[in-house]
Amino acid sequence: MAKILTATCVDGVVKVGDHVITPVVILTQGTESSGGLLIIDEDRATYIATNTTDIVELLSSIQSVLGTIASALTTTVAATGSAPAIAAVAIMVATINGAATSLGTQKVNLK
Amino acid sequence: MKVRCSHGYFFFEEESAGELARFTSRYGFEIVSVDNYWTFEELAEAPRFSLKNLAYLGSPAIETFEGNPWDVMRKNKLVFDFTDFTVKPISTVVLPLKLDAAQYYSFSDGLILPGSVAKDGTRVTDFTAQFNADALKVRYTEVIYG
Repeated sequence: MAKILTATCVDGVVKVGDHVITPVVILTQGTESSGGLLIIDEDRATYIATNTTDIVELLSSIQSVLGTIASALTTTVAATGSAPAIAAVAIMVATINGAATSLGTQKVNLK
Repeated sequence: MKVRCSHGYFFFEEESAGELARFTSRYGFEIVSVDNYWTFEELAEAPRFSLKNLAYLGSPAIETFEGNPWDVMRKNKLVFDFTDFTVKPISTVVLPLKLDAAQYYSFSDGLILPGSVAKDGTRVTDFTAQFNADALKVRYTEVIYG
């Protein structure tokens, strides 16, 4: 039966407490520091980050972006009483693109 | 009483009432029950994994490994020394092997120390034996060298 230990991974170095584990296969894709699990099965050691915070943060960002879009559209329609003007649409698009860039950055910083 | 050594991890299995008591009395060992066998007290809580460069039962582990304690000891080239009740690298055992040969088995007054060095330079890693409670001798039916 495999042994599971709590571990951390910083700059590609996996530790159990203060003890460096080597060799080890790091399964998760990201590069940010993380906490996770070290699984030892015979002579194979594998590290898996617990990335539930990644998912929560990502969902929060998406939620925030959607809220920004909705708010911008609501404000523009309320102000003009009609479909938004081209200039206003350009501002909205820039806002959406900015949010998308932010999500892209967040994706790179996954654990 | 059956005695097995698997890379320095000992198993004692009583086959007749009183054998274990006579064995421990003869050699002065502290033996405890684990699952369906008995072993040295110092081995009873042996972890089922080792982390490379961290101590395993007081001796440095050379591998990260998970498995039965005897498999962990084998992977890390460790044996239990019942002369001082410590776990140590097999390479540090310097005792020469003393075993008398009979037709179908070998025998000795006591337990072979795992890691004992045979004449050809190989070391005892495993053995299977029978402790004769009446004669107070150990008869070895199988000895493995590595």
